[in-house]
Amino acid sequence: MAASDSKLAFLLLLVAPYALAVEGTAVLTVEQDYFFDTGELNDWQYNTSLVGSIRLRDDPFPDNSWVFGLTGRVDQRDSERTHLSIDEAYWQRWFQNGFSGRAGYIETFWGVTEASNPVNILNQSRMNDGLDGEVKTTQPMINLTHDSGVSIINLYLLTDFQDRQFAGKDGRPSLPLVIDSDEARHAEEPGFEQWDVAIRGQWLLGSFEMALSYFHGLNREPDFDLRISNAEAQELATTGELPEGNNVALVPRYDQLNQVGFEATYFVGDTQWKGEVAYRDLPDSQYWRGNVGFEHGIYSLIDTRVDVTLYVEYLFDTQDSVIEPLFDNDVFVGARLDLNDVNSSFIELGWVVDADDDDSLIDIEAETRILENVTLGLSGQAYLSDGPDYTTDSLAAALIANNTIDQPLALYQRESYVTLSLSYYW
Amino acid sequence: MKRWKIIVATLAASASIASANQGYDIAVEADRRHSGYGDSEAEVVMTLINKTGDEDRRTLTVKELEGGTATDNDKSLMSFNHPRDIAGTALLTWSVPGEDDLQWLYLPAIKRVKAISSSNRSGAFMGSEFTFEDLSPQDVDDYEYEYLGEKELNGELCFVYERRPKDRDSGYTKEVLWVDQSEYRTRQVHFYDHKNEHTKTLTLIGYELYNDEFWRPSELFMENHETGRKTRMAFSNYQFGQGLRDSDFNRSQLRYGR
Repeated sequence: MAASDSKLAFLLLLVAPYALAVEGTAVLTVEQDYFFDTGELNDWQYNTSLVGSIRLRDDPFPDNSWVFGLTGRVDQRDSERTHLSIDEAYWQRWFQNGFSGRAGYIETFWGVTEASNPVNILNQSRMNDGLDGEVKTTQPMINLTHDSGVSIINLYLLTDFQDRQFAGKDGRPSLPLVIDSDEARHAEEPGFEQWDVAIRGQWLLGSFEMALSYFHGLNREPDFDLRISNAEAQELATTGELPEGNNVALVPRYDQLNQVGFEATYFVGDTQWKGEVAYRDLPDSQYWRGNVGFEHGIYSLIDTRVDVTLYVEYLFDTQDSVIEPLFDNDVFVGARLDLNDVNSSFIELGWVVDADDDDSLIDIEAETRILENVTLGLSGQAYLSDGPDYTTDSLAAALIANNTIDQPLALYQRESYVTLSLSYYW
Repeated sequence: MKRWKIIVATLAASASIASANQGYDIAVEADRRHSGYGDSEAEVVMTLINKTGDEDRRTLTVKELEGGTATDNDKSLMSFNHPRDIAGTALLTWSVPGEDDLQWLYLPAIKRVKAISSSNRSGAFMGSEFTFEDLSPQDVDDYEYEYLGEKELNGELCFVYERRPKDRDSGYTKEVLWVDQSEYRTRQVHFYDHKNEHTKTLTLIGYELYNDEFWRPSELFMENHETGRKTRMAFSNYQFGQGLRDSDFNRSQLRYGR
């Protein structure tokens, strides 16, 4: 005990000279969720959670710097959403001639489109922080970069694998069936032999920008196997209902994936044409997934200070799966209003419509600063579908019968929600 | 494409001959005295003042790199620090002579470097009375000039000239500049909107000499006469020629926030 205390004291002494130079930011957020309906697995409609994060950074020596961040959440209902985890935490070193390297827990972003980013693969998603998967976990990796200004090459060695985070059995928004992440299966157990690799090159040619990427490793997006015992299946078949206290669940399965990605953007005045496409090669399936469209800016709308950005994208996914992909043949229309007021207020509205069945997803996000260090935000998603209102029983029956679920949004139709958040920044 | 460029170059050359008047010469001399610093860095405190006098504060760091030759890009990197909810947000600009600038915005929450359109020239910068255009690097040949005479401003004898932006995306039809005769420092600018009304006045205050060579204002004060709002930009910790490199203005630098 004493030894470790003195070690700590020595460590503190070592870092003390830097302590003054370290830059830090922190934020504490209270979130209040409201679900418009009761769900199949949970009949509560209100949920409160508290999220905090801290980020420190410093340049201890020339051409060296580090970042360290932590994020934690305490969730009223969902114990699987309550967590404390390492945010970005890495050391970076710059070398001559545009080379740099970094190692640690890193978050990267690949992509150019707005509705979703099919090529963005390195970091795992927290689906319990929104079905759009925009909230990511950090990925342990070694990342080497060469940036010449007009071209950037990144090499990634991904030294661990993280499972996708889903709402627990007490959490929402969720499918009508429990996802049992504890039993998840991986094509190979994560370990030294199973380091995933990726490479991405970016090129800038005037107002044309493009990127090519390749990823080899475990798919970040699991497939699901239905776990059901013979007795349970038999009872479901005869009575149409699963027995009380059943153990039926969807079990995530992570397969080996090769993905080739392509991204491009091109500016014509106030319009930015853009697209990203991924070819995904899995053991049982090969398919294309992509978004193509444009973004158009209207600045100082009708002599006001308001800037409007309009988005139109076509989303496709040729994957042939039992539960069809959410965005397989969809049109996204969105708008962002920046009020350009002193409170940096903005409103974002997005609408994704499935061209096959007219099911749609509405996404809203808005934020304003109400005090110097305090922001108020509103976000939410509505899942509109005229498909069957699945129960645990009917979904399990459909999956056993191997019936294609061609209106995937129907699975979420009782999970529409809004979240009000109040954040304090340091 | 190449042929098109030659035509444009010819047009530009004839344009500068046509505007080879005293106003143009003053602008060239002012530009010459302003340049040659290589690179610079400054801390900026921006105060937004509304009609009733309420103030809001933003702080940012501005780094600039001069392109060495005519074909090199001038580059600038603005990193925001306050309000804290936008800390880490950064705007990288590469100016391209004769073409639209290239701009990228870094969004720290999702670690995204987003290419943005630089034609948002007339849009308000961070809710202030400055537009992106007011704060962008300005090339002498981006305007047409007319000399208006000399006038005294706060006891300094100034050249007064008018310049009209050639860029259709500009928020102004013309700007009238007061440039002092002793050191060619811009002292005041009147901005005229598309209805040709004098809507904004910029006053440049507290010029100080750095490295025995470069005059820089310690404060820019912009008044909007239409709305009654004002913005004060105060500069401090100016540093010149500290050896910033091209690579300090690369896109992959944005993520490090240094």
